[in-house]
Amino acid sequence: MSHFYFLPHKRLDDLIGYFKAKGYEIKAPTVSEESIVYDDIEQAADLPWGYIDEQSPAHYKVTKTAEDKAFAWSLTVQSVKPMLFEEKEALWQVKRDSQGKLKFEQCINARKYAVLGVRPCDLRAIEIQDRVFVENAYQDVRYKTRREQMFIIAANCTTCHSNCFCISLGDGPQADKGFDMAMTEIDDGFVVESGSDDGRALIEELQLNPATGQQTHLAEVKVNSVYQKQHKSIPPLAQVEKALFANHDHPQWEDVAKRCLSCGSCTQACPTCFCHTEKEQPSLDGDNSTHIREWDSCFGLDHSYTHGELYREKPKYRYRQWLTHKFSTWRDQFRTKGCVGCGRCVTWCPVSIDVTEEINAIVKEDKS
Amino acid sequence: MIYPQDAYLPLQAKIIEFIEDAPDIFTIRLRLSDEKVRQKYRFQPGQFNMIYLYGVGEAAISIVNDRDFNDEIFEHTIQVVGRITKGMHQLQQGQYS
Repeated sequence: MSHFYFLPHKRLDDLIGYFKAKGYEIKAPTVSEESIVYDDIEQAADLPWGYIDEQSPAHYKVTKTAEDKAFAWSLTVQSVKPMLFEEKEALWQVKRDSQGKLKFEQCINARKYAVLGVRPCDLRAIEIQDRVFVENAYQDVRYKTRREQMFIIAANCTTCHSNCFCISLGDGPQADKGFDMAMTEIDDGFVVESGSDDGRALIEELQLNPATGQQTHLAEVKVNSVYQKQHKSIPPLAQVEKALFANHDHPQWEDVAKRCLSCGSCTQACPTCFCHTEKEQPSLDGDNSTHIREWDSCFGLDHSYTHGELYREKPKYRYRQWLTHKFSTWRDQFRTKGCVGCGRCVTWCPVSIDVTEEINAIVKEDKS
Repeated sequence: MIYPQDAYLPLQAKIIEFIEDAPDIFTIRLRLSDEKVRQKYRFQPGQFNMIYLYGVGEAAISIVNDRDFNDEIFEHTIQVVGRITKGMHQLQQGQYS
């Protein structure tokens, strides 16, 4: 018997109800300020029905169509990242008593999310951030707590935007692991499969019918259509890793630095970037202080400040640091790659810098 | 609920001795307040502590003494360079960090 089931569009509210009853905060794609973003949803009607997105370098636009689909668009503006690695969060608080003794208290935002509609690239990005925050000698208990509680429903891609290059990295268009349930939207619903015991329990609870052979075939055709739609790519990673490292003095770094504004947009939109800074927020009366972690960017001048010196003063060094870290040294550090080919850095770069073009320019001339 | 193994959470230490080595260089000798933690605390040559100054922030400072220390005191020799080390220079013997 096939392990695929069919979830009709009209049963989406039952799915949402399941998570509500179990005390989850439900995060799903929804249209807000002319963008498709993850936000709290109450009902299936809050999904981006009929919306499609158009993305190209420094360009993003959503359009409402007559199509009766909730997932006809390609990619949300932001990934799942802010739910697990929050933009700004208190790590601990300290109180000082009259004798000057300090009492440290842990802060944890232990939120329990059910995320609906995670694209395969973003799933892979979660796996990469797990390496950074959890599968390490030192774990971040905040990330870990939210991660362990998270219920993930993946949405396979049936389309892509013009900045996507996930296929060349092996991260799309189909989710192969890392989800509790995965779905592919076809005409009037979704072909779904479970990826965990929690996912199986959900399918059982909803009493879904097995998908027909025709439905699973249609789902497969829709996902496979992305191979024809996607045109951007980078060379095999092993080649990229070697070429970037061997070409630290390539003139392309100077060239991109002339265009780069060092705004850090790419790092904020990236689903794997994890750089952060820690800040102190003392109370006005001086009795206590809160220690805060906040997203930072390697494009910021202060990010390389150590021992009274700036180590990457020129934009050229900052761009080179970002690209070589993502596509080369990341592997030495975390035993995984640093990019999933979602193309957000290309869409949200205000001066249209395309990471695939920068990489290809260097790899093409590599003689190492 | 306290979640275990939180690498971010600091541990309190008391300044056993504060030594002025030079006008802008000083050494603090520290002892962790929690006995259990103190007994387990070990370090290797080249390791550093992230030292927190109340209400100001943290800085990475190398440990300078012998790792086979037997008095459960570890030392940091610090040069005044930035905002945090400047604040640390104001500390005194008997204070907590």
